[in-house]
Amino acid sequence: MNQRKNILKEVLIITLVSLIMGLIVNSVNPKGIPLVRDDSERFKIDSASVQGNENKSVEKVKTKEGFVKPQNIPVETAKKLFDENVIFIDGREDFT
Amino acid sequence: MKILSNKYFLILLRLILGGVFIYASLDKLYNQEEFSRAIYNYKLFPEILINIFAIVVPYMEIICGILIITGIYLRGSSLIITLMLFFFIIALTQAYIRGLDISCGCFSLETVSNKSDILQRIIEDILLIIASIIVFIQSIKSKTINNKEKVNE
Repeated sequence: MNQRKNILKEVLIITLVSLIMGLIVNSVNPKGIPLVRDDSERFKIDSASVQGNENKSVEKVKTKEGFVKPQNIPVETAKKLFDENVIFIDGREDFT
Repeated sequence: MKILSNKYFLILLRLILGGVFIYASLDKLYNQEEFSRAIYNYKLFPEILINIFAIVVPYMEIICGILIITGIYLRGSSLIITLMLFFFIIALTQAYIRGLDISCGCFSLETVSNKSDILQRIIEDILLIIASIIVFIQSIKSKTINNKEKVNE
C-alpha cells in the first residue's frame, strides 16, 4: 500500500513538473502556442472572394517555395468547378 | 529468465528507453505547432486538450528520459513511460486501421508516414513497452528487497 502511494507520488511530481515547465517555457517562447487550439482561421471559407468569380477565385498568395497558397472554397463552388470539368487532384499520398 | 533481473541488462534497457525518449522529445520541443498538428491529425483527442498535450508531452518525455537513465524516481518514470507508450500504440493502431496518412509525430514531425512506417513504429513501441514494463517491475522488486533489508538491519 505504501509502495503504491510512493509510486503515485512520483508520477504526480513528474506530471506536475512537466506541466509547470511546459506552461512557463511556452509562455515566454516567441514560438509558443495558445493553450487551446484555434482552427477557425484554417477552416474559414471566404465565400465573398469566390462567389460568381470562381475562375479568378484563387488569390495569388504564394508560399516561400513559390507555390500558390491553398485556399478553402465553399462546397457549392467546388461542385460548380467540378461540373465545368476542372481537374481535381487528390494531393494525399498514395495509401494502398 | 534470470537475465531480466540482471543489473547490467536493466541498465542497458534504461539507457535505451531514456535515450529514445530524450531524442523523441527534441523535435517536439522546438516545433510545438507541428506537434500539435500531428496530434490533431490522429483525430483521437478533444480539440481543447490537443495544445495542452503538445505543450506537456515533450517535457514529460525528456524528464522521464533523464530520470530513467539516472535512476531517480525510477518507478514513477518507468510507469509514465509505459503509459505513454500504451497510448502511442493505441493512437498508431487506430491510425493504421483507419488508413490515415499522417505524420506519426514520433521522432521527426516533417515527414508524412505511410502505412508500413506506422506498422514499424507500432512494432518499435511494443518492444519499448516490454522494456519499460521489465524496468518498472524490477524497480519495484529491488525497492521491496531494499526495504526488507533495512527492516532486518
